[in-house]
Amino acid sequence: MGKKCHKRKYPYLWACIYGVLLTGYAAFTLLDAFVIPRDLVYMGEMGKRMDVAGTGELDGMEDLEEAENIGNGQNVQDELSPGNGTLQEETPSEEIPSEETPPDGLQSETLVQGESTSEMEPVITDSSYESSSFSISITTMCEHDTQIYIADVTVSDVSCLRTGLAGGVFGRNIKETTSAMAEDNNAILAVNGDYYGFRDSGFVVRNGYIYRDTTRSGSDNEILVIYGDGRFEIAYEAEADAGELVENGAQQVFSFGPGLLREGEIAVGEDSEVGQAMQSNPRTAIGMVEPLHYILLVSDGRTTESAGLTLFELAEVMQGLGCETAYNLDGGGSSTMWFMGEIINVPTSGWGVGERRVSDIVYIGE
Amino acid sequence: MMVYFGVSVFCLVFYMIYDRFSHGIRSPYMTWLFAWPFLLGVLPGIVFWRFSKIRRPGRFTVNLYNSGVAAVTVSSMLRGIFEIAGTASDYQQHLMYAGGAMLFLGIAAHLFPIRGFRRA
Repeated sequence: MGKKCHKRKYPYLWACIYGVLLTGYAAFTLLDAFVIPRDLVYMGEMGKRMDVAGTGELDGMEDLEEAENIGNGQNVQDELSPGNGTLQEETPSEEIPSEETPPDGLQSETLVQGESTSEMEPVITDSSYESSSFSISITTMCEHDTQIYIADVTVSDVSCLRTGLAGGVFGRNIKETTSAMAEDNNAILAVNGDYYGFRDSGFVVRNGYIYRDTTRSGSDNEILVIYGDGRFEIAYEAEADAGELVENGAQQVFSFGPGLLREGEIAVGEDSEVGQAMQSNPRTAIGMVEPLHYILLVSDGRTTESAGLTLFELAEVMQGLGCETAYNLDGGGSSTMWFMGEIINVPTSGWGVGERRVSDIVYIGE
Repeated sequence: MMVYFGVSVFCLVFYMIYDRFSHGIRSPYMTWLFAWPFLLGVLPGIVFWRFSKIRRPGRFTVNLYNSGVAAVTVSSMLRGIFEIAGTASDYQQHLMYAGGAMLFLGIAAHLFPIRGFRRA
């Protein structure tokens, strides 16, 4: 009798407890996916990745304190000597003049250029920048009811085409605006990258280092490989190996896609789209006219002034600009182009106009 | 049954509002979110209401089944949100598996009642 009374008193006890638990679990899942930063670079994992590259020496990673420093937000690229996968031993940060040292084989060439560049002041206008290391020319055009921003970039060395990570750390949900990252890296020109930190898989190779070597599910995912000699190559991620790519000279590998142009031919269909997105969107693309001559393109969209481009239209524009190889980077609200301290496109973040925080940028810097 | 109907309507409205702000990006898990409570809640409720001679499930079975429907529905909503955003989560998949297991056990507990197990 007593038990019957107890059950009548709390008929929804299970529902209440379960509801609270389910709500908490759902909230945690959302926070984990969108908010909670997860720094994936720590001692063991970095060592493993360098082993995968086949060129790593793990001596420096024996030091747990050093690894913790990396995990706590210090710039990983400061800790590493790009191009050969090795760590520098206890090098004071003041002795490293910039974020990267050029990869082996490129170093001497760059140093020679450095001597000559110190004598030449860059020529800067509102829409261009020219130095002995690289030249940038920004133009705009309107096609398909969309404002398009084109940066025509010629570099003397591919080391001028760089990538930067939010906070200087590889990890999930570590985000910064494109403009903040550009300023942190002393960039001249920057566009958003592939937003690797929003996914748990997909190759991430930056400035010669493998940060992630897991492939995305699906056999048709394409990656963009930028080699040390300035070549672009689009490959299928499922058929590639990040370690081999780095051994073969890959400096950057992006995992978004799809590839827009292969050998000058449009590689997407008229109905192609990223996921279930609608066809017209803000876009970011990178293309190679020839080695050391690149196009960075950002288009507006989702506004009354600009409808946005389909992937096919984007490929057509890149083809019209003379690109041999072109690749689609993260678009939508992420699409941002930054030049000499100013955002030059109209990025749309969320429900309005504004700059979205992303994981990484592609930039041109001295 | 009316609770499930209300949840179905809520899911439909939630989808419509979410779709309004998702820049045209869609996920079938969000579009058909309302189908989970409707198919797994409203329809069985109609069957039990229409055919009154069918044996009614016990409290434990009902709790297990309802928990499964809730888990599957929430998991579907999360997957829809993640697909629209362009990401994924293992935790969402775990919830879907757990919900499926609870549904299966709830149905099994009703079809094959344990002899001697007291119904609430």
